[in-house]
Amino acid sequence: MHRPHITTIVLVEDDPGHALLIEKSLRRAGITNPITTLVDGGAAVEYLFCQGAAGDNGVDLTHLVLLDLNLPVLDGHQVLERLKSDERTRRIPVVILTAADKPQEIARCYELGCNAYIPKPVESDQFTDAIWKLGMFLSIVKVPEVLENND
Amino acid sequence: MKRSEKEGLSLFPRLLIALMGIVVLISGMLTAVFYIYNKRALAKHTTENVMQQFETISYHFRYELRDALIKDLQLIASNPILDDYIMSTEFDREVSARSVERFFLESLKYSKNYDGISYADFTGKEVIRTDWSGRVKVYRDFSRRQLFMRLRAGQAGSIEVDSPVVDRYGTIQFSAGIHKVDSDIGKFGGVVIVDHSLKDFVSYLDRIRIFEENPIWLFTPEGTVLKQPAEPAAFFDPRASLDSGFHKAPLLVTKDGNMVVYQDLFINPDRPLLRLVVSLPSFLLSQDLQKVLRFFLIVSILSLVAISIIAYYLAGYLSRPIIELARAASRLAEGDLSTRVKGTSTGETQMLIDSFNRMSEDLEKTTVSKDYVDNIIRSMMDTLIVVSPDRTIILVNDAACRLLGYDEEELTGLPFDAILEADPQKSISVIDEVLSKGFIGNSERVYRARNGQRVHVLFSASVMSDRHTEAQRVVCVAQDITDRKRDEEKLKAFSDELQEINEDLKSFSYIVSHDLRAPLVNIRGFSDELIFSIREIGPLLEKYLDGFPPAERQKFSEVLNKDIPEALQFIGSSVSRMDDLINAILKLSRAGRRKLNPEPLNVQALIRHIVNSLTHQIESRKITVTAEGLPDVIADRTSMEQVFGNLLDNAIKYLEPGRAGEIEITAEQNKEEVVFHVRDNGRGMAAEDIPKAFEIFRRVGPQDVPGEGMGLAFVKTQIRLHGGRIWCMSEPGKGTMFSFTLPQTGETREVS
Repeated sequence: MHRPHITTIVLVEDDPGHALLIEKSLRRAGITNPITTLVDGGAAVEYLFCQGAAGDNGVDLTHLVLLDLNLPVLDGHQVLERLKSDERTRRIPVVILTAADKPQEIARCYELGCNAYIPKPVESDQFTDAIWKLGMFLSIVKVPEVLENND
Repeated sequence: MKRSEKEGLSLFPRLLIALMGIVVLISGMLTAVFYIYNKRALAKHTTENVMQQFETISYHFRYELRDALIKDLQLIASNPILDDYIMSTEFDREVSARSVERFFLESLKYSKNYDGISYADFTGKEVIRTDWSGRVKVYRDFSRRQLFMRLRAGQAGSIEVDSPVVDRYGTIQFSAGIHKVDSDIGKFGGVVIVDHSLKDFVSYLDRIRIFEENPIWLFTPEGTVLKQPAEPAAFFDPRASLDSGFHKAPLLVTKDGNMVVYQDLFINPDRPLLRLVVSLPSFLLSQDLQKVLRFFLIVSILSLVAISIIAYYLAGYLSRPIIELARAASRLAEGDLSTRVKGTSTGETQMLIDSFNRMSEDLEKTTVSKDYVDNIIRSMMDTLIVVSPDRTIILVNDAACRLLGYDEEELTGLPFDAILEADPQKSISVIDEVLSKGFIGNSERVYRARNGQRVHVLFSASVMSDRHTEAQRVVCVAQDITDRKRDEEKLKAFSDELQEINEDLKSFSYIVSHDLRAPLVNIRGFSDELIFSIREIGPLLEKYLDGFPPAERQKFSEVLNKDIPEALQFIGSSVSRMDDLINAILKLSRAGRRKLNPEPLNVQALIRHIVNSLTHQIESRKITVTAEGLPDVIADRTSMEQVFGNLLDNAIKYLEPGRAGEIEITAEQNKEEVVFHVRDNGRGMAAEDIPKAFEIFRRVGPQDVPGEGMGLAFVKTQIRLHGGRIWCMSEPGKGTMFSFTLPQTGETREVS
């Protein structure tokens, strides 16, 4: 049976201040989806690979990942790599949200399979603005749906 | 080693002998030819001479003797006196006889050749006779004489002659008679006989000279010698060579080199009176020739002497340079390389001398060069090893022995592989490689010393071909690079470390700047949140403020609307400032690492471009910008844009209020660098403040103009990266001039 899909935004960000700001900005941009914040790469991987167990309340949770690169335990690249190389998780859209904007870096992330790369602005006053724009973008983005076993 | 022994005669005597030999040979030949030729000529000449003599004698005989005689006989016979006598009777016979006698005597005296004239009658009885003593009364009887009988048998007027006889007194005479006819009876009347002396003839003959001698013989037909040569020198008895025939013409007979010419002389054509013989012994014949030969001999000897002298000098002249050359060559062979041949000659000899000298010189130079080269090889610091194609060491130099710790004898003959460590990467030996390629240059190899020590060397080798034997050798030069290798390793270590430091630094700046930013985002963001929150609660609180006393309401409002926003404002501006500073640092560090791309720049155009972009500021502040005569440079375009942009920007920014701004850009150049000046008439700065202006984050003077104080630090870095220098001169209230240099060659430097 066709259950409603609610996309959960998974925010992987180790700076709590940034994480909060991002959440507030997204909300102000009109995002109502649930936002799950994880503070390191390991937790992110664990969460995403075990989402079946985490989402055992009967609601299929599709995800969109906002991924910072500079993470403890596992850094963003490793997370991305693991996500994109596993059959179960490779369809999950991953938006890299990071301070670095070197072309090699961008290329590398795309090569690893990220779906979008958004650099965090250097000037602090542009940060929330950028996140707001991201929110606008996310509000119209569609993510692939997790297919039920019996569909 | 002495090799200068002369073999055989020296050149000079040989030349001399040769020349003399030639002369002698030629003169000998000439003489021989002449001799042969002359002998014949002389023989001919002699013959002619003799014949000539015979002619003369014949003539003489004929005309002086014969014809005279015949004529006389005829005259006498035809004289009427004789006729009278013949026809006389007995009475006048005597008288007539006397007349005839007188007549005979006259004739006798007239003739001088006759010893006696007589007349014999038809019986043969001499009836009249005269001789030089006068009339002779002893009469001879001719009747039985051949002469008479022949006369009688002959015709009238015929003449007969008797053979000459020599009487006991040595007188030579012959009798000649004429047949007289008795005209009366017309028959034989008698004969007139004349005794002809041959004395004169003989004397005449005696006077004749042939070859200065008198080789004349006179014989009677019977062979009696009437005359013969007096001197024994001329004595050659010709009788053996004479034949018995009559010879009216001279006959020449040669026998054993002796010449005999003889002729019969006739009164009567059929009966010879005399045989005239010229007998020339051979030596007489050759006398003439010998005289000539003697003459020639003298001439030859004289000329030989003369020629000897000439030959002597000529031989000397010719041989001297060659002998000198020979001596010089042997001196050269013995090792005296400074030998030179002095003196001059002509032609090929001179060529030889010149060539020899040149050769000697070259040899000296070569030996000097060879010594020089040997010296080089011995004293050079690099090792030199010559290896044969079968990989055996043939030759080493001192440096090689020293490096490898062997003696020269020990090294020579060793296989090269014992010295050179094999390269594990290559399959063929280095020697084979060199032989096939021709050379190997600068390859790092390892030599093994005697004590097993491994020596790092820079190895080069090439093939040396021996032109004569077509053997090929490999010349190996190896430079000890142990120190170099050690230094290289040290350098590599440093370099690696430096690289690491550099990388660390790079990531450091990167990380620093990024890590420093992150909190800023938070500060900024939450400041904004605070403002939001205040905006949110503000109106809510306002509602409840009505119940508060006015003073408290006032305070609340103040705090809410003034103090808090003000504080947040300051926080915001500080965060902005931090943002800018971090940006500037990042930019500076990135700029320092940015790779410069020097290119030829038209500075004039570049300035114009910058001025254009600042047009708004320039015009609004009424600044005049002059930039003229700016030369082209070789530099990084972006850097120069930034440099000039910055300097111009500063000039515009720090104007003196109340004075029309003037900015002037000039340049000058020399062989090594170009100097640019950017001068303004702005507010200037104090001399002690100038260094501060160049410091990062520092600014000079009243801070009424926006700016981070980054520009000049940045400009200084760019200039230094180009290898130039920058300085400033300024006077407060007057103006400022920034000057910087750029090198002409456009070389840039890496500055960390």
